[in-house]
Amino acid sequence: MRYPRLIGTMLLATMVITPIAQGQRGPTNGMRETEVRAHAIVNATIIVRPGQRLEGANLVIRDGIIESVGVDVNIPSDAQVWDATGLTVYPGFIDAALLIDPGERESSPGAHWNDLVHPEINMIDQPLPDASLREQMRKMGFTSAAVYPEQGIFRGTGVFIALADEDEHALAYLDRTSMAVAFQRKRRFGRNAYPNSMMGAIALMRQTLYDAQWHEASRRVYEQFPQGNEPTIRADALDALQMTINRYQPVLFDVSDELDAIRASQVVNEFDLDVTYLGSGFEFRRLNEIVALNRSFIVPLNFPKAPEVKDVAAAEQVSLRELTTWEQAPTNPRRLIRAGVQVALTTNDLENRKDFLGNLRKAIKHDLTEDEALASLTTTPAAMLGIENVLGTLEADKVANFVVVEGSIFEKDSKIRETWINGRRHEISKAAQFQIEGDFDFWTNRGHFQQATIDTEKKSIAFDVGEEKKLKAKKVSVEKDRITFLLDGSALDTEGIVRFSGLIAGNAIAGTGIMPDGDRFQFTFEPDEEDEDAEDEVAMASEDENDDDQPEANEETDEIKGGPPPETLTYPIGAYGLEAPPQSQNVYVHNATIWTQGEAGIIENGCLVIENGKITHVGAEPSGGAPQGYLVLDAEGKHITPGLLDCHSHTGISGGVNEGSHSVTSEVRIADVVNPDDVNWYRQLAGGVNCVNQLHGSANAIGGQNSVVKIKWGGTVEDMRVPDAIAGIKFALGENPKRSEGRYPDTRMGVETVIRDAFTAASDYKAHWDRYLALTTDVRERIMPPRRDLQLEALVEIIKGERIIHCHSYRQDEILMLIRVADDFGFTIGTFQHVLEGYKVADAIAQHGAGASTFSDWWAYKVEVMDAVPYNGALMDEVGVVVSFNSDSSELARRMNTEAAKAVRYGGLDPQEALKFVTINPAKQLRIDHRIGSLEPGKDGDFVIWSHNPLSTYARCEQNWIEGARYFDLRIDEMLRKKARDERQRIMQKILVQSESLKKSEKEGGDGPPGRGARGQRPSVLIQGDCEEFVGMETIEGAQ
Amino acid sequence: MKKRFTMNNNMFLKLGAILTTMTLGTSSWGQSRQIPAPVQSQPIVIHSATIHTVSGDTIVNGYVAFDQGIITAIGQGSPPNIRNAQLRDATGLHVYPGLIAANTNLGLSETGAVPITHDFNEFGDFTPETRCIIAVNPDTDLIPVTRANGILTAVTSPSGGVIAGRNAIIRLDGWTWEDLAIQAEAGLILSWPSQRGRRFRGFGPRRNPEDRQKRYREGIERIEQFFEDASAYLKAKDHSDILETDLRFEAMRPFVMGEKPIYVQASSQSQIEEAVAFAQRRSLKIIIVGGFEADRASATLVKNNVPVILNGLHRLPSARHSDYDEPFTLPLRLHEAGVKFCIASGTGSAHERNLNHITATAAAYGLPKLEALRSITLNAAEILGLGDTHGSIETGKTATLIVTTGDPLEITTDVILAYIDGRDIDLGSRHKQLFLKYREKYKQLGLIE
Repeated sequence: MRYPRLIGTMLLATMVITPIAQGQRGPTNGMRETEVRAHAIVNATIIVRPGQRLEGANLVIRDGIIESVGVDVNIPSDAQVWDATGLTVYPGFIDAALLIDPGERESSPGAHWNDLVHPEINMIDQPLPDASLREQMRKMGFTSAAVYPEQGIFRGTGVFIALADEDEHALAYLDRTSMAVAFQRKRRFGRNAYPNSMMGAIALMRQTLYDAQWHEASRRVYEQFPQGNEPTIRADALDALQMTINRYQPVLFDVSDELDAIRASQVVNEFDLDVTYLGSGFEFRRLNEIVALNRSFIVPLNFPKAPEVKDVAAAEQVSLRELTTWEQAPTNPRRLIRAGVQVALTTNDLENRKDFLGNLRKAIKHDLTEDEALASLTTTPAAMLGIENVLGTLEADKVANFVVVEGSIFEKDSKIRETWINGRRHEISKAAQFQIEGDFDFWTNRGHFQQATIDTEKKSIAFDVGEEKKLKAKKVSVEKDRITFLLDGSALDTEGIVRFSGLIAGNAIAGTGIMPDGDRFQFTFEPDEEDEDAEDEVAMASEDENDDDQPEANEETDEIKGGPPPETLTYPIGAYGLEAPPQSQNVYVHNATIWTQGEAGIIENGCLVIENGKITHVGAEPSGGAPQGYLVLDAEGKHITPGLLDCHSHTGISGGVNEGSHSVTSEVRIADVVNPDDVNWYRQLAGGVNCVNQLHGSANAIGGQNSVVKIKWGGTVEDMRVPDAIAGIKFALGENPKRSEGRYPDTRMGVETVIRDAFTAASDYKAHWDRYLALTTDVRERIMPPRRDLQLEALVEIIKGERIIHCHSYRQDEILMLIRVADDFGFTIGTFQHVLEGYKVADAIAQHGAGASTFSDWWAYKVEVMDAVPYNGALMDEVGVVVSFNSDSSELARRMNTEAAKAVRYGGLDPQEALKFVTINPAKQLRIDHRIGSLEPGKDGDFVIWSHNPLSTYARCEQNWIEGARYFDLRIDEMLRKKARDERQRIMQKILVQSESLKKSEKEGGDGPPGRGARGQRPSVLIQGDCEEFVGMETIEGAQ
Repeated sequence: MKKRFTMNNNMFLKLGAILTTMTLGTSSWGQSRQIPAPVQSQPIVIHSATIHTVSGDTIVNGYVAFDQGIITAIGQGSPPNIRNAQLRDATGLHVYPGLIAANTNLGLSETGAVPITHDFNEFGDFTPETRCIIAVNPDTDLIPVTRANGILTAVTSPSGGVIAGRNAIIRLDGWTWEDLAIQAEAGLILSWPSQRGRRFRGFGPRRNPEDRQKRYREGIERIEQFFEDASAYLKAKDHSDILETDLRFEAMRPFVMGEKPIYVQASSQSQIEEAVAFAQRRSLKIIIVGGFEADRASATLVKNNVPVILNGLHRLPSARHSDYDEPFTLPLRLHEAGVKFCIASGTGSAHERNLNHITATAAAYGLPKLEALRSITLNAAEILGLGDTHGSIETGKTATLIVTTGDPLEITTDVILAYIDGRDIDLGSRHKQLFLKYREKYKQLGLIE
């Protein structure tokens, strides 16, 4: 990202001779104060930039700018000289995205209707980050940070500031950085909760960007042709986005996990935004896709706490995914950098921000080089911010931001001494000049003499009171050179507490004591020069004392306890993940009973041939046998069917199945939030399903758009999509949509009117656009364009027949109602879902041409399903409706074959006809029967091998193939199980080995789940059973 | 019409039976219109069938005779000449014992989402004094639907709290709850505390492990205390004329004395092990209900001879990394470990009719087929204390049996006839009635034949 308009100002400012912004300050009222602003840090080790190191060098700065740096640099005579012998100077660290909460915001007349959309916030106008936060950052070596608001979808513009202590010194290097955005949702229900799903947040972002474009276009028209046009309304949010949509202002996209980043890229590409991602730290879990985004990432070092594995029962629940994430998280920055991603590090998302340097060292232990680490904190963030000519290295003419460290900042026992910002020194820790350690002689002017052992750093003073006994001073405090402590009077032959206060000077202490009776006396500690042996004793004693720290010392070694993490990762991370997705092969299956589900019926002793992912032959075995190079599968005694389809699924949907806040949410898209990592995908493959219709829930009359995917486990979401399935959308009638409190509709009457109102609006919308587009360009230039409305656009697509409705419904009255609405608006409904009273109006459904996707035998879970019968499917089929059975459940989806068998049991369908309910019929309903649903030449090579007749309850899916690639096989499953078991044990052992040595640091941490802190977002969690038929599911699963 | 249907003779036979009930009209829900069968008035002989005795050999071309509700003869070939007997030719058909649903709340809940139709969870955590039998609605629509798939005997239980009350074993046909009762107060329902941290609808934080453990221990302590108090009361009551009566503890008597079984809901290994240890200490008779980790506790179960009612197989694996078929292979592991178990549906009573299909999954995943069948017939009967009367086709046992077109574990198998205690049961249901009613609609419209 670049800030072309702002850099110029910045450079000019550095060349101004007089102090900046003097005119802003008032006249001096009293004596003028002069600040020396020329300094020389001499005799230091200077890291000029990553990879360039000077020993014994000097750094000269003046007025906040580096004047010169090098070994032979002259020290100007006016400069204050700081001896840095033995110290190392690094360029100041830069946090490219520090998130803070700017607090409550007052609503303004130009505010956006949704309170998560406030791009008009500009951090330059907001209070600076707390002084305490700035201090905390300095203590870790940070000298500057780009600061952003942490809440909202459009959060506002950041500012890049110095992290100085005084507010007036916390200068803004850039008063306008990126526009921060995120897919943030509200965690509540009700009418003002929009968006309360991730897909809702994505939809709102998309609509707002279109609105910004529309607003700009309208404003332009008005500016040119005010006559005859109404002025545009005040829209601060849309105004604030103008720079962004025109690429003058980059976007900082805060993503909650790796999948979120991939999702975000779709919006980014749609609007051609100039984006940098503020990552999650979990990018390694989808590394290839993240790298392919070809964007910069600012990533946190929020390494998860080790999962609890000591308790045997608790450990049972710890998944391999959690364990692997724990083990691999420290490799994240290194993996990204080595793969060519531009990476900056941020202190965000840590449970405790001060863990940053510790975690950085952990990352280095996991093979991040020190140069890479330094670059990701200096030159890389500077480059991302477009100010690499001003910040990031210690070169002449750059800003004098640097860190002075005792030791290497990348090692544990180092100590940050000073952080310099704009040439001003911020002391972090005292130099050792006032620390003394060793054996001393203690004298008082009252004639007392004792031997004492002192270590001021450890705040320990121990008096040798004879007979090997030691008496320790209490409440030892060391403030710079002032030392105070209390001592039991017995050491000085008195009773009570004796108070001491002295100054450290050189290698001695001198001061005043107060006896219990109030008498004052003088004391000194002087080094005990004579007893050389004593020092050894002390050394030994302190070693003993340090016993607790011993294990931590182990951490210092380069070795990772329990062994380094494996380099190769699987997709998805966790059990049953694959190192690479299955590859399509040319396959020749023979000796099988093939249920073609097409004209050919059931072929005994049949042969199925697949070439390049497509079926080339189904039937008797060809005379030549298998062509050269084909994989031959002998399926003797086995049955083969097309891959099963599930026409109603909520598996693999991130961030909520319902956008239940509004009664119409046709703008939201399940396709935006597909989760390829859901392990239920794998389980469904193991049940013979390989294509599903992912639907929005049924909380509102008009829900969101659907997604049709094939279960290409191990692949990407893009791999999974079935682009030639017709676009669809979820509608819902009856109890569910009317159940939401405080919102229209409350009755079936209201459900109809909500739908009619929406379609009426959509028709009007279409008419507006049609009229507008029919105008000549000349006329169009002079009038305001219509607004693009994604909600109505989806409904227009329905009216035009480009998108079909999948409508949740139960009772015959509501089914008939929607048919009449559709008739009135001139479109055909795709499917009725559930449609448990469909058998009562099957004639109307058939006549209208809608499909019916029903449950095999669910009933009794609520009032509107009391007339549900298991004969529903068969009877509708008999009357001529295209019928499918669906699961609406990640669990039931594993047995769609035996669900089909229920149409034989209830209603006496022919077995082939029954199996159509989960093969060709749902394919027809999704308009992909030209590709899948039956085994016929030219169709996709999607098939399942069964141990028995697929309608038998004894049948097991043995193999599941998609487009000639093997996605499930019992034998491979056996291997994957073993691998998961072994890996879990290995990593749990590693945790146990490490916890032995890290007891102390473990104690410090909480028990929180791995993931982000309070940032309004959480990593997407794999929770299923988030079923729309919640009530129904409870009845089914919850038999207590 | 295309070759869409394979309407066989059995279908018509069934439809005929159903049509007679049609004349009564369709029902409003919650009021089944199936007429309870009269007592067996003449001997019945089912012949020319395959008799699956379950306890013994399967008899091809066999017969089974029963009179006054009791099986009187079983054999192969021509049936004995029994005076006044009604002969039923079951050529090509199969006879099985009636299936047993070991964990339901049939009759106690009509509609899932309508709490006013629920009668299984009384107020309070310890309510042993309640008995669910008196709340069982004999006219529930759920019973005929369940029965139609061959399930003729069921345990119906209260739930909720720690001690929910006393359950009942019922026959699925009768005019009143007294008619239904086989054992009116069969067992006590006790929920062992859980260590699992549950999240509300999958949201919010789980409790931390220490907190969960603490609550678990406290929960067990409450149970110990209640049993301790009950024992103390019962002992005192037996030796005192003036002690006032406590109905809660009076209800506990047969259970504290180890005379009747306590159905302990426990799923995890530690829950099961600790529940068994609790029972041993107090000499209680228990049955584990749930048992998802019973395989891990199998040594304890076998050693102490504690049976398990496995509550359902059709559930997702317990953890992300678990084998996809972990719940399906559990019966096999229990069988191999020698644990006595039966299988319950785990679905909720409206879908109890799928018990046999759910059980088939165990066989698909390794359990021998006969063991799968036993787990919903004889094993269930034995575990429930009905081993002498139910669960197999044996002379002297009650004539509770079904006649089917094939293996009852197959979904595609139809149940043609059912007898409970020799009474000829109406296999019609609300579902069949509605099916036939709307077939009439399409016949009137000329859309179907």
